[in-house]
Amino acid sequence: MASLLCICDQGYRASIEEQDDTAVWMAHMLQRNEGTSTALLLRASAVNYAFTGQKPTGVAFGSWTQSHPADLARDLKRFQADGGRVFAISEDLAKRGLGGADLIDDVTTIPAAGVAALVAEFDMVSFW
Amino acid sequence: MSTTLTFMLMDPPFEATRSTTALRLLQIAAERGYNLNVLAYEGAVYVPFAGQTGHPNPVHGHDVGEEDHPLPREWVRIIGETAASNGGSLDWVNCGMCADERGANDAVDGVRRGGPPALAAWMASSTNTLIIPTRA
Repeated sequence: MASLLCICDQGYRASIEEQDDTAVWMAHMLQRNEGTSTALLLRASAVNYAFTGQKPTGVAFGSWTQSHPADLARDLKRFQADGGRVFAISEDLAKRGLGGADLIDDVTTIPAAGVAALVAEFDMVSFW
Repeated sequence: MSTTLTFMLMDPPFEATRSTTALRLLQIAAERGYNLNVLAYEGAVYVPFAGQTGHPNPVHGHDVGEEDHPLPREWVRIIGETAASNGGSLDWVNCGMCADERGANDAVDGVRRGGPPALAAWMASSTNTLIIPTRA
């Protein structure tokens, strides 16, 4: 089985319209693809996706209100439930005041200096 | 004295947050009855593109109806209606050359073609102008 690491470093790019994150979505679809074992590495602002304290409220224009505001922590948990693995850079979490208890379960934190070794574990790497 | 605000948008929808944030500001201004001018430049001509349609989302497990995909063209329409109902206006100009090169000339009602002269005139006569360019 081929392994793929998707590195996501820009949070909330089009999450209002898409009601999810497009990089996380693609990683999830690839994970579902038979023969691909996919992992996500969250860095920079994207580490906030693992924060359980996010409160998606959606947007409103006049009487129109959003039905399904993006819930990135939920989406990561669903990705994990389908076999995906999630990593996050510890320094980027620390810059935002986030630690282990703030995060969804089973997020593996690694130091920035450990990225090269992590990349070497995968057959393919895509940077989003 | 009425307030007139001019916005220049450059980012396409469905890829970044800047144009979406601008639309949210426009909605607030429309609720206050301001007169609003928008020049959609480069990829932003797709914001009012009439061909936008929702789609199902297999990751969410939603069919097209359940997903209820947000469509910026609808937001543009709502902003125009909101401004008009509060005594203001929305004048949305799509950069004609930008729309031509993208094949994006099919816009929602109320959008007209134009270009830099419209922006120059608006900047000279508006209470304020907000330029929101694409950033790498």
